[in-house]
Amino acid sequence: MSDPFERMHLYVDALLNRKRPKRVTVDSEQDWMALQFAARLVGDAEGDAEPSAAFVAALQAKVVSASAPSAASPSRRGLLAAAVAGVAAGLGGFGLGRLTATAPEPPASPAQVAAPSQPAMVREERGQWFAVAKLSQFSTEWVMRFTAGAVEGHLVRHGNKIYAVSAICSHLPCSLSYQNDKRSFLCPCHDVSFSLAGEAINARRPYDPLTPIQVKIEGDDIMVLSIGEAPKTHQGTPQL
Amino acid sequence: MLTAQGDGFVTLWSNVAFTQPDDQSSLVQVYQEHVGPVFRFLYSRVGNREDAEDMASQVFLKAVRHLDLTRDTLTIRSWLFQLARTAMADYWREYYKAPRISLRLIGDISGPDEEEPEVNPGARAETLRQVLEQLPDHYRRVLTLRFLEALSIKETAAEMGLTEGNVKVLQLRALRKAAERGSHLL
Repeated sequence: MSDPFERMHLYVDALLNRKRPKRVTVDSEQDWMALQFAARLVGDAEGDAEPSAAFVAALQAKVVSASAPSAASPSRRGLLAAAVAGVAAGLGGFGLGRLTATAPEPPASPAQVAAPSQPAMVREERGQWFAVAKLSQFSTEWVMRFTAGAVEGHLVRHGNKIYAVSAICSHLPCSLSYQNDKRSFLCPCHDVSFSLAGEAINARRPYDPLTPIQVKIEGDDIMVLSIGEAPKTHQGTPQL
Repeated sequence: MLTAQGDGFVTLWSNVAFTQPDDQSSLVQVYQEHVGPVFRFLYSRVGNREDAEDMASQVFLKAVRHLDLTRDTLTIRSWLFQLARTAMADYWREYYKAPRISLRLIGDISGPDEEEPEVNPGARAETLRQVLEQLPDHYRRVLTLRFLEALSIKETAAEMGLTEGNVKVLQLRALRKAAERGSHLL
């Protein structure tokens, strides 16, 4: 539908008539947010909408069924065994990948991967590693945007520390842009910036930090953990 | 090989969750305690019951695979709301996506959220009211008639002395402006 006014009218009418709106593709960020605001107005106008008893009961049955031991796949059982072995070895509190690693190796280069402050975007057992940069390629201070599979991120090298954070805002699904003069990532959707470490700067309300992306170094390759139907890797250029 | 697998990477996911029958009573307790708040949170943002139910189902069926019942209630609650926010972002991207926006964020969970879930309906209504009050009169009027008084386009047109076409135009423009002013509510 090309008429944005009619499109919004039909969307709002469906909501006001207690129907699921038809899926519509909007062609501007402004109208996309307007749709969300319309839904918010309707959702909040009713106060707290309670789930129906039938829905709660049906979903509970599904949840319990999904949790049954028989639902666990052989691989998950293997992971369970690995986790138990890891705890027995005194490695509790570390990631599954760490539990299954043979032994930690000493740093092979001056650069180190910085430990993230919160859980990473992709769990290791579900992801694959993508080489996005060469350690020897750049200086010791830089920011690089990359696309690896389904993940867009910024790789940051600060001295001998290397880490990566999502290039998507933690609040709205908008793509961040790097501001070289301010050494920060700007969200164009609602004028919020994030530090290179991923923390919101001067925000009017609390925002989640940017999601960390797991990084490792193998030889000269800096690799990030991602998933992706389109296993492409784009090696960006440093921006700092 | 250096890997970024410090303490921060493992919080709620043990891959052990719910494999013991004794856990099931705890699971049901967690579910019953949170299904209402999660549903209400989702409903307040999609404005219709069917989509809210679909997303609540996604949240709990995803949670059941990874949740660590040994965590405290606050942490579990925070994580469930993080899952709900992720489901919400996927919903708006998948069904109503704007091609000019880069929409490549994957849907996997990213862990507990430090921010308390916004569940106070009184506070929400007050914040929305403040956004509406900031709008020009004719924008505030059309949104009030349509969304708060639930008038049809025809009734709104009669009330405002406009054509139905004009009301549709005004409605979209008012929503655009309100979304701009109230982007922090989305």
